[in-house]
Amino acid sequence: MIFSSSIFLFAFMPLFFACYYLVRQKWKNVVILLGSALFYAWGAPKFIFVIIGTTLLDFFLVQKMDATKTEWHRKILLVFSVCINLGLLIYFKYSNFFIENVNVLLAGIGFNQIHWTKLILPIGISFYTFETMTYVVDVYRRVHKPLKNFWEYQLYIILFPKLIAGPIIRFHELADQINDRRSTTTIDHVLTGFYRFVLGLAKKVIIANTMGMYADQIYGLDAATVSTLTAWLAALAYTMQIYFDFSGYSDMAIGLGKMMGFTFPENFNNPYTSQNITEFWRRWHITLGAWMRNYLYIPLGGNKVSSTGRLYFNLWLVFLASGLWHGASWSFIFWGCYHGLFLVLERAGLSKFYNNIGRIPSMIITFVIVLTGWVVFRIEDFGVAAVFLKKMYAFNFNAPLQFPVFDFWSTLLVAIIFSFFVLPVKGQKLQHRIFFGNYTVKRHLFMTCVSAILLFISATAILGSSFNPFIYFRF
Amino acid sequence: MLFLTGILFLPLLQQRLQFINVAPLGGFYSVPAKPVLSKATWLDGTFAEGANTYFDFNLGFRPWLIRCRNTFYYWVLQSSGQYDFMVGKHRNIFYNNNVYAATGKDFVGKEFISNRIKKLAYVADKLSEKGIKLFVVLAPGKANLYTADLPMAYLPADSVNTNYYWLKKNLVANKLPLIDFHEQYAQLKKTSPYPIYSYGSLHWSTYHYMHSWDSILNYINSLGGKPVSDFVIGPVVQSDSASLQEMDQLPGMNVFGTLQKQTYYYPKYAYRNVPVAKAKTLFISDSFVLTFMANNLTNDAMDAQCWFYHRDVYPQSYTKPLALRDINYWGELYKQDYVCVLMSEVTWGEAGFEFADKVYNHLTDGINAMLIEFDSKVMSQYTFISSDLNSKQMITSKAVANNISFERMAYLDAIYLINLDFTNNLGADTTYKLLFDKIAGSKLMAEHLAQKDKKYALGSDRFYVEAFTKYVTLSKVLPAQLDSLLQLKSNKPL
Repeated sequence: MIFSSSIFLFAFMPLFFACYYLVRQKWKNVVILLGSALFYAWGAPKFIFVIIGTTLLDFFLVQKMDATKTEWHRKILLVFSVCINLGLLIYFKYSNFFIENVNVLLAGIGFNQIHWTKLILPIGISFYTFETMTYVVDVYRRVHKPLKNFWEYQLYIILFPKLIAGPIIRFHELADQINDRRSTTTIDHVLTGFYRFVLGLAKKVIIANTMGMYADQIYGLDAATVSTLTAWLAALAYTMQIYFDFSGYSDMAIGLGKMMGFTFPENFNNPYTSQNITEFWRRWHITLGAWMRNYLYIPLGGNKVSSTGRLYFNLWLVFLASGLWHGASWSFIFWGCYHGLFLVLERAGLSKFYNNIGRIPSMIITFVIVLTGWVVFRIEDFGVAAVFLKKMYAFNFNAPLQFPVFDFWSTLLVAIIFSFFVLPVKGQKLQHRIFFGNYTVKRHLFMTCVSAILLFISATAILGSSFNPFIYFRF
Repeated sequence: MLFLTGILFLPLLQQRLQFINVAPLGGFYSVPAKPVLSKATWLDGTFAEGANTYFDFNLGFRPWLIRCRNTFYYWVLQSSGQYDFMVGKHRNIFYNNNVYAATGKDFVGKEFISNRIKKLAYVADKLSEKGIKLFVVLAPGKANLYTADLPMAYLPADSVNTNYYWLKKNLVANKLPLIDFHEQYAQLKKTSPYPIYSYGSLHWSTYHYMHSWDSILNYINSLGGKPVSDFVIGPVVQSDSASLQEMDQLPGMNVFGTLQKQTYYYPKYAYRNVPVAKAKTLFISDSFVLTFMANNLTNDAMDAQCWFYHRDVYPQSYTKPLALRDINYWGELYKQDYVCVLMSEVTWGEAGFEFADKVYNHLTDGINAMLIEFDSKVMSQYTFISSDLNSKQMITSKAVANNISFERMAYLDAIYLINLDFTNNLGADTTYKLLFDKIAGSKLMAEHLAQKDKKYALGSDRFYVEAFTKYVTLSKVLPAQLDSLLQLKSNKPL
């Protein structure tokens, strides 16, 4: 089930929250557990057993690890658990990719190819695997005591708002909230959660879907026939689509969490206003960045390494892993390396150049670097991506712009405004007041009206986009 | 908190209780079936998929919400917000395929058109020997005539790379009797006070379909066969209100109120010299002929029927259409006095529809002809799915996944879709199983597959043979006739 579907919005969500608010405190977690299981099993029933199985194993391994006094014994249990979690992720997510590449290699040297039935990727596996690993590692590092009750651990993993697309919440960030959310289950908290959810929904269905429709149209064309302007427009459309899609989803997750009394970490902070790639990664998919930093970069030595070369290598490796995490394909690996390269360059001196040229020019350069990276990320086929990039950077503006119509331009304008909304100080203040400020009754009334309008527009977009009558048929 | 939940419950309550009367949506759409819950459908995800669609379709206030959205799109964003059509300048509505015709995106290639028209010319000659006069009509193209109103960023194609250019060229070269309203109206548009098309319509305006009808009747009478009535256009009434003809997109647009206003012209008309015995006229056409039939113009002039897209049969009474496969095809065809092949902007690329192939093949030889006809069906499907953006993406990913070429994947998909269609049409008829072994084991099929193998690497694909056998069965070939049909050799004039 996805948040932007009518069945979630008008059946699951009201039924779930009606039950959640009506039951007594001690049953609230049971409602969440059952709701989350239904939410996940609705679209991918088979894989619910994969989650339950792995969490069960993890839970007992961690219990055992906590009870064990010997350090090496604890370490073995840690390694065992990490191997199981990573193993499952690699098996489901990367084996198709691995076999495909091995087959290409085998075919190249004249050997028979390996027969392989393609695996279906369990929804959300990349997110919940990382979360199970934070539980194991956090307990190993004694950051937090393990949970006593398996169902509480299960709740942490399958809590539906963040199950499918994050934010990736580290165990210790949520552990205390699982048992006690009384202080955050206030009307203020619930209402601001609702506003946040609706805002995210609007970002997804009004902006991201419109941008995506046009990006798909242009990227569906024969790349050789695309003009420079069209190629730039497609890249811009996809740049906006991916941001409003993903950040919209995160907003919805954070909002839903708030409506239940949870406080999830922020996942985006106006990334397109970044002045360099290092800053971009502090603002884009923040929880993945934090995970990579805490569970990969720091164990590799972090900044405290013997040589600059090793530091660059570590940085690059983290971004290669980050690219691979996004998907099993060479284009994601390339995209990760591409970002890693800029991070290394910034450490090596590019940052000084950015400082010298000032805020707006460095922001524009960073935006263009990010946008160019999205082309490879979106197209996947290197050959086609190369042609699109060639078209973009040929700067041949004689050929006309293809496709987009008025609704695209108006939506693009809205997308650009909201992407750079916080550039002026007033914008920053306004955003802070909406997301984190104290709400007076007047402000609640205002935000309720705004949310009602956005919810209405989003509902029309969700239902309207699935309605395509065969007009011509009547003739 | 419960108040918020209550708001979200409203559509569900409306769905169950229907406490407000909301008019259903216009246009034609399929109604999703209620999903059946079982262990199998739950585990393979089909229940969830079906339930999502079913819920979506039946949700309370849905028609109202969609109308709100479409009204906003039409008046504010100047867009239809729907997949099948676009809104251009002056809020002029264009069917997507019309725009694709004007921009050359739907160009099927000169070879295809040339081949079809040669066949049509052969058919016209042969029918003429039986006293049946065949002529071609080209209806005016909205997007080609109103290029200035095309949606932003759609530019008219170089005229050579369009279906119209090659169709006209081949029709003239093959000396097929022709009325080209597109060319005539392109001239007339500059001087006529009456618009050729209204903003809200995909079909010609009332004045111009009457004008065209007058021209068609005069043309038929000039052919020297059985006469048809004379049509007289009388005084023209000017009005601000649009008939359905002038705004045939209104129901499908699903907007509140009406579409962009303009002045409409409604001529009076009368018939003279109505013959006692009406000439039988068969139209092989798209929807443009239905404007004559739906507005009762054909009744007093002739005994007409329309083989709509060479798929459905609309009799004179214009009630419920029949499927072409359910009528006595050859009996009906040979009864006619006139056959008019009428194509509009979106069907110029069809170049005579499958009518040209089918009759040509019938007039030449047996199973070999059926193979050609079948291949033509597959190629039409192939052309469609390889040019449709959504299908194209799907085929590309499947081709990559299966490590085969795009062409091969598209060809296999085309056969799959054709096979599926035939299977649905066959219903409970299992005659094809009796024919299958004979066809699969025939030398003719082996040679045919070997030829295909060069291009599409079809190999010994049973699916092709299965689909073809179903096609033979649908053509009412009996097992007993098959042996003699398999002996026939091709003897084609082309």
